[in-house]
Amino acid sequence: MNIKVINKFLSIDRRIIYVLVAVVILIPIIKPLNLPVQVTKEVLGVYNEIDKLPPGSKILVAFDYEPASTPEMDPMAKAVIRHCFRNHLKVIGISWLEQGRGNAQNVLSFITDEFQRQGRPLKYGEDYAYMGFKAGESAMIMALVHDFKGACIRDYLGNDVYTMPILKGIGSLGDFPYLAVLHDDSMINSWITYGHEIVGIKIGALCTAIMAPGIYANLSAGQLTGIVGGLKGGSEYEKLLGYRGLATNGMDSQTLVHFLIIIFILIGNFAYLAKERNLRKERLR
Amino acid sequence: MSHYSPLATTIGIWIAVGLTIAIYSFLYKDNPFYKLAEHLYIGVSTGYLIVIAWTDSIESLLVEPLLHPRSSESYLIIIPGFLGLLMFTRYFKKAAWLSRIPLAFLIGYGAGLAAPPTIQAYLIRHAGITIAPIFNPKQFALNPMSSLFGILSIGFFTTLIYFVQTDRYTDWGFGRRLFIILGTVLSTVLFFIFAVYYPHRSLWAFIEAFYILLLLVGVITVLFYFFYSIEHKKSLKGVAKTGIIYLMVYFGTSFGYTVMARLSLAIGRMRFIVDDWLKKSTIQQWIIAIPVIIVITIILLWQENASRTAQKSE
Repeated sequence: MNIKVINKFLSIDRRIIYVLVAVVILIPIIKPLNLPVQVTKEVLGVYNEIDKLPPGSKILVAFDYEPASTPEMDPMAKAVIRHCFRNHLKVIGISWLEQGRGNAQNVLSFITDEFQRQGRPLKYGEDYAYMGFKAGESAMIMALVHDFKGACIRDYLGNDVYTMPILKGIGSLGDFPYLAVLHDDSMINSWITYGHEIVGIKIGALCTAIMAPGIYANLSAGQLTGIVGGLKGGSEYEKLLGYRGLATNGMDSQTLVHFLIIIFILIGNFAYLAKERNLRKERLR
Repeated sequence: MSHYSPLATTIGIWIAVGLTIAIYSFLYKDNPFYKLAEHLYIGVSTGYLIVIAWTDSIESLLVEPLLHPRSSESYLIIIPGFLGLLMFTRYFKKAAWLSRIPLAFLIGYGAGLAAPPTIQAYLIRHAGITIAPIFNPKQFALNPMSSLFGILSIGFFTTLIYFVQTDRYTDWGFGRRLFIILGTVLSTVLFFIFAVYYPHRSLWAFIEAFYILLLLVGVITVLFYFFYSIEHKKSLKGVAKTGIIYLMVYFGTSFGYTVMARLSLAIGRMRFIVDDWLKKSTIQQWIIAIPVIIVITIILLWQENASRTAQKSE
């Protein structure tokens, strides 16, 4: 191959790559490709545990992610809350991150509005509640283990948790049959260490793709029932619930961009090898 | 739950789109729009965090129990409250030593609280799941042939370890090396055939058992890679290199997932721009927005120009 062409390939302006990535992302957003989604056993582990809970069960959902992670986390958060309400489960939210509070409010209001439009209004304090941000992480989890209401005292609206019907019968963290942790950081470690190991609460991890590889060891150890990782995990959960949501549509763009990245990697490697070959030939001459 | 008026939502969307484009403009090069968005992000998030920390934490967990105590125990909250206040003594030179008291309490409490459950959750539990399947009769059946090759495999493996250790001092020669390595591999394969494949008659059981072995090798070699008391030379280098391969597989997976995560964020912003802004924006909105955008652009460019001139004159 001509050395000039090779050098051109090796010195493509990074801004051209950015533009191409943006275009490839935009195509499926404008015209969805409806690519198929395969459900993995990791996602089924979370779905099945929630699905087999009897109606009226109380599920604790930890909103431990920042606004920067919402494109990845919100679709799966909405899917899991939707699943809970469809199965007539009662949802109690809590956050260890200050930023998690806004996300929890957005997701809960989005889903409760949706159910209201469908003719099934959900009542705050009876069908769902949100405790707000609680500082302390591991110390706070220990406090929840000993006395859930005593650790929360008031919800995010300032309501007395002792008088909330949804928390009737909840004395400790161990009284919840399931805990879904939506996280973009290592918060899951504290929930496993102090929640699962001390009171044996079953935990499902719903996390960003970056966090997923690190917690597979916990899944193998039986400390988690399943993992819903990133947009891919979210799309699988949406498939299990029977709809194509933001995560499933996002996977179209994701797949196309992955193809583009593979093409760039191949071009870069071929050009590099060709350049090395040309240099070797020149040296021999 | 919170609801916003349509006007507030529309203004919010326009500001969010403007800030998104401003942040992404950094991909072209550093510019005043990016700086504005960056400073706004830091300022707004800090302000937001302070408000949330006050309302959800200090007010509800400290002020409220003191103003409306449930029992006499509620007054105990004064102790952690006082310890928290001692943290602020760091701002006064003469009283700064007092801040060590809550810090010492935090570190002592944290270590005491964390040590037992962490050891249980991350050391005992994980070591257990690595070793336990090897002794599980459902995975490895015990019969005369599997016992024979199991003993042979352990024997060869022990010799191999001895060989690896003494390899630094003595040259064992090619024939012995080959015999020990082939013996280890063959006896292990035969053990797997008689202990796993024949009793279960399933290729899947064989693969699963092989995966357990692969995992065990990975744990040992990666741990060895971080063991620096012995120099990684000759055969030991091979063990450490195997550990590196395992680590690289993990890093590769992690990197792949990271790329996926970053793309998800870009997809989310693009979707927001297309679905919430481009598809929903009206001509009236554009008529109001364009002059505002022009004014902001002029102000930012003028300020950037002024700061550049000031820098040049300095």
